[in-house]
Amino acid sequence: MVQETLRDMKNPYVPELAKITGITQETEANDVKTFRVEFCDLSAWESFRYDPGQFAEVSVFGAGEAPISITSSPTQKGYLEFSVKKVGQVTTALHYANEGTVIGVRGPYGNTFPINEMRGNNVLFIGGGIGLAPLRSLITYVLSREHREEFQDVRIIYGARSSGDLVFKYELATWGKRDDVDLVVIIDRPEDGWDGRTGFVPAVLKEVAPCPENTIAVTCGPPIMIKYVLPVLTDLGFSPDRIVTTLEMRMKCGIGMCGRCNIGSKYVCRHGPVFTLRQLMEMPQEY
Amino acid sequence: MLKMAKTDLDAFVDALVKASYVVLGPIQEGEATKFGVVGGEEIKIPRLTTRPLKELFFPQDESLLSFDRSGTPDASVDTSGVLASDGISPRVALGVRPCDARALVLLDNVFASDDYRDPYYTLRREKTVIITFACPLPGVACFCESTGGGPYDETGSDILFVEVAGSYLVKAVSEKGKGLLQEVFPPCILHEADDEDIQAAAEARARGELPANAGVPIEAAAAILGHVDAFGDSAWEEVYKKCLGCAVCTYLCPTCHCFDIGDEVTGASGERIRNWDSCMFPLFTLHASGHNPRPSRKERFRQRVMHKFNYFVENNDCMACVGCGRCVENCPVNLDIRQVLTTFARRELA
Repeated sequence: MVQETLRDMKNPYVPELAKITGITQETEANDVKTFRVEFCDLSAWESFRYDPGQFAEVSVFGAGEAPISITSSPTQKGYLEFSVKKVGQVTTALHYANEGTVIGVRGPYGNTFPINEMRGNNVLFIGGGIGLAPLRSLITYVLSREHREEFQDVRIIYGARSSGDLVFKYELATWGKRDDVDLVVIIDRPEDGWDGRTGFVPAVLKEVAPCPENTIAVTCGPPIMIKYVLPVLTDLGFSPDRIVTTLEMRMKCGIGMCGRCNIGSKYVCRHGPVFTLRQLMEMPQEY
Repeated sequence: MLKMAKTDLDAFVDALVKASYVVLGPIQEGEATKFGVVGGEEIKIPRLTTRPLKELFFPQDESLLSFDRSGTPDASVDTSGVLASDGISPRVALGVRPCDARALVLLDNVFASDDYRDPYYTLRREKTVIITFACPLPGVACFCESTGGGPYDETGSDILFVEVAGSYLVKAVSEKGKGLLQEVFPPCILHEADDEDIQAAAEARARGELPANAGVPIEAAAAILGHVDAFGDSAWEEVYKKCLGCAVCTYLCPTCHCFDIGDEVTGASGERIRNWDSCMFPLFTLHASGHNPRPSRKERFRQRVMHKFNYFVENNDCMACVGCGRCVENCPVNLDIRQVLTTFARRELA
């Protein structure tokens, strides 16, 4: 009896093998790359059903594992994408990987963006730098042919330090051309050849002043950006339940056991990574 | 209720070994005592092992899987060596104290929840029968009663031994325990206890429970720590100051469960190893970016206390402390969690 249950028990620590099938250089400094991966065993898709906002533990065998948000959308079949900034041991090893390299992926983990609450509403995306990665999953979902009409107006405000630091430029170009998307792209200060807006995201958000009525705001970016975006949204009249963000913490297991990613009693890997401002207000400021 | 002569303990172990059980009990390792394989030699049951019982289920380091990159670019992952269900024989852990047994039930909340089950822990749990020895005389650092347990607590035990004048009274607590007793033991070792024995056990229990109730006001402390202003309370500025951040409290804690996972490589192959980790270490929460949400010993000490007496309670309806006193006895600077709790119990938060 006991042995049967153990054999059936899925081992959450064993990653599925996945092959890198595409690598896109995102930034001019080449410190951000997007990796497209496909599971070596196609049956892995049966247990890997994800929604925007979730993440996976990505392993480079020999270097270890790191939690990375899934930047592709479940509406895109047959592959996953991870946009990775080269900062630590695992991400550096990943940056040395080539097409064809087999890596490990386990997940999906964490909660999702509140898609059900967003249906029928306007959606305002506010991103900064690599923070566009988790938002891109939701943007792609919302703008997909299957789901676009479930949502009202879509506005995207995205900023980076310089034009060379903007990620997903190919997506920005596509989104910018659509007449059902209002896209504002900003860089911190003027540059030769840049005819778009300049400034910091919170300040531009204030200028653009989106109407909070029937709108859910979703923001992700560097902590300093989020810190200044939240009060701007509040001043604009967004209620704390309608301001959504996604957090990062150092993680190991991804499944609430290893004990390090908690903020108060909430584990970012299980209760998050997506939180509303209302939830954050009830949590200790320890992130 | 059954009864066994104390002098038959070694015969009891032999019978288990003969029935193909791996018997784990207190063993000496250097200056410390811990749980390890016993049998053949006389067993000594210390008041409390230096190292906690948890390591029989959640060892300090273990391989989660092995991988091979020699087929580059194709890698392969193998868990057969570590997860083979016959890799762990049926085991009996004996000489366990009630605090350590109760700690396993708390750890089950973490490693065997409804959502995710840790197969390494769960496998060992399912394969192990816990034989607990009630504490005849709790130590000076013990405060199990204050945490809801007690020197005669049966929580987490399959069989409970109570020492009474040269004998053990043997009580099957769980079906698993009952099964073991029926399966293994000849009547020459175990026989029925009489009313006098049972009366004597009750008296021993009444004597033992008194010293273990150190009167630590845990409920009051937990209530304060659950207050919305507790996290920012100025008392944290003082209580952590002696702490060196050595983490011995968390390593020896029977309920602490934090771990790290890392790869160790030899040539083209390697293993993914899980190690105990501790919230007392700065690297524990350090982001790759350099940001650390718990940058100083103050935040880390607060995390340890809040996790045990507030966060764990919120998530699992029980506190993550069994009052074994190991953190009290082994702290190099005598930072006493009982005093910390007393400090908070006396705080008045508006």
